[in-house]
Amino acid sequence: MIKALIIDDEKLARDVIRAYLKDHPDIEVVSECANGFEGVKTIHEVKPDLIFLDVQMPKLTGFEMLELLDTVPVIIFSTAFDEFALKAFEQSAADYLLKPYSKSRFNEAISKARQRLTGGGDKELVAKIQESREGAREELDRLVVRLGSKIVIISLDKVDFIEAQDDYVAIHSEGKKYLKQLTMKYLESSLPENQFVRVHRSYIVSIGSIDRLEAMSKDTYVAILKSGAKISVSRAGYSSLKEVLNF
Amino acid sequence: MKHPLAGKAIVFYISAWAVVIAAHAVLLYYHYQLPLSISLADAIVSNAFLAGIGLSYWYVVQYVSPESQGISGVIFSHVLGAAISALLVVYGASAVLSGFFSGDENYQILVDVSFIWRIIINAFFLALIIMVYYLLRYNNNLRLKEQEELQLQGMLRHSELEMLKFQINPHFIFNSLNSVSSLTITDPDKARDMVIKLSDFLRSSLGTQSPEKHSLKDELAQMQLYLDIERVRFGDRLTSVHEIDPACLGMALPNMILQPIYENAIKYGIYEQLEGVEIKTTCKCEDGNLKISVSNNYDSEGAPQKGKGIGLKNVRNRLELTYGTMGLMTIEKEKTIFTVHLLIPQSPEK
Repeated sequence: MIKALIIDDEKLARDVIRAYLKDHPDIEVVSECANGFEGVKTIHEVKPDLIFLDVQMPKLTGFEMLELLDTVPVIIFSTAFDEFALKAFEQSAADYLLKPYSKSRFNEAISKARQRLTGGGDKELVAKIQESREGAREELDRLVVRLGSKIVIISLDKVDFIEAQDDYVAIHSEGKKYLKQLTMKYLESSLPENQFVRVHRSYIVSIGSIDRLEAMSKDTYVAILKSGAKISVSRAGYSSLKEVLNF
Repeated sequence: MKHPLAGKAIVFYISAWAVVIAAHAVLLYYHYQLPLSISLADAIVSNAFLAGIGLSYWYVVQYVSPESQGISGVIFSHVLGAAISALLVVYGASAVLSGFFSGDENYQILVDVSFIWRIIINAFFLALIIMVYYLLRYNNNLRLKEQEELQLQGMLRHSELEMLKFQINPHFIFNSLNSVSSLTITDPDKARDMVIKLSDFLRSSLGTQSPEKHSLKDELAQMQLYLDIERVRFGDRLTSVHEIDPACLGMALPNMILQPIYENAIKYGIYEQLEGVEIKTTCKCEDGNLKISVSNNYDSEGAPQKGKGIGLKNVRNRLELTYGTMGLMTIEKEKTIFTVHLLIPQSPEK
């Protein structure tokens, strides 16, 4: 038996999936979710094998949801119209359904999903989607992190700086620190470049949070943030700062 | 351009020459004490020649323009042309007149003596006529240019308005079609209903014959279709309340101006919070103008997703283009309520 979860904010859209699934008695819909928050919670609770995921949803988009999952099931995306999402799908080879879709197109997606289910899930999918979104130069406008069972949406203007920590990044915002599995490279290219500067191999800093710069030695500087935090600035970082701030 | 003297202006031209002829005759008759018949004949013959040449000079002016020959070239051509014309006119007129009145010796002497003066005066008259022609031509070109500019501006404004008018999100159309697809399985009657509503809505907003402006009553009916369609998608997460003063139902406003505002309210209300959204529409007449407020609840703590505010910007631009006044749309952001106010002028329009 394949455990499936449907995540879509429109009931009628969920109904279609349920109706089309009648032809697949070995797939059991264990639950339905109407938003991303619920989706993340339910995925961790019921550990489905397969999810049907809408991209545009209240609070959390389908993509943001994926970033918050510990284990990623096999996913069939659906979207009505979103050029960025389509680009991401095409480049990451994830299967997606364009609403409205036919039963035969749906069955095709199901058979592809079955192949991936035996192949061990969509572990690499998240990274691939991230990569393709990076390639699409889609600017981020907020960050979503998980704190235990709580989901926190951090608006970019509340981010002080971001620090690399092994496979993770630590996002420092309003005196708190949130860990998220992202690469510095992805963040550097996806954060608005007039607002964030990579000042060091391990640091991306929000320009608005910088209080002053102090020289440490001949070639190295340190940025003192309004919060009091001190961040090393490399030579390359110093010249990028110079460029953005025009000094 | 037509000859400027082709119409009624010819009367003016002829009268001007009549005055010149009269003055000429009076001068000869009183000052030079010539017989009346000779004075009149001299005045008429020499000036009628000139008047004829003056008329045809319009065509010369058409081909000698500062744009193609430069100012100095034009002056040179005309000075030379006017001198030659004057010479020919005076020579011709003198020959005819002295041949005709060969018996009057005084007159013969006068014709000889005044030869050079006549040329100068004739050249002066021609110069005057040429200048008037240039002035008329310049004036005409200016008017044409102004007209063209006006036309161009009108076209630009029209196309801008057309662009701003149809801003329905493709997302809306495809998601609605998906709802229809779903309803055909579970509730075919409702599916048909939805297809009809969607068609009605698209027809009224897409149609090229849809008017630029219509009454508030029509606008609200159209928006009711839109909200009905969205309600099929979102169910009880979307509710709408209307508070309409019946007195303003006949007032005019741009077609579909409220749609981006509702779309924005639904986006904020539905996509940024988990509870439902209530959209409240109030219409009032104030000082003869139409005042519309659309408000929705929203989560002020939420960090919005991308792409917000484009629809509202379009509404602002459209109002500005249509009425030629700024500030007809204002936004009010309270803690949990987001309101868009529109002021739609009723009589004086651009």
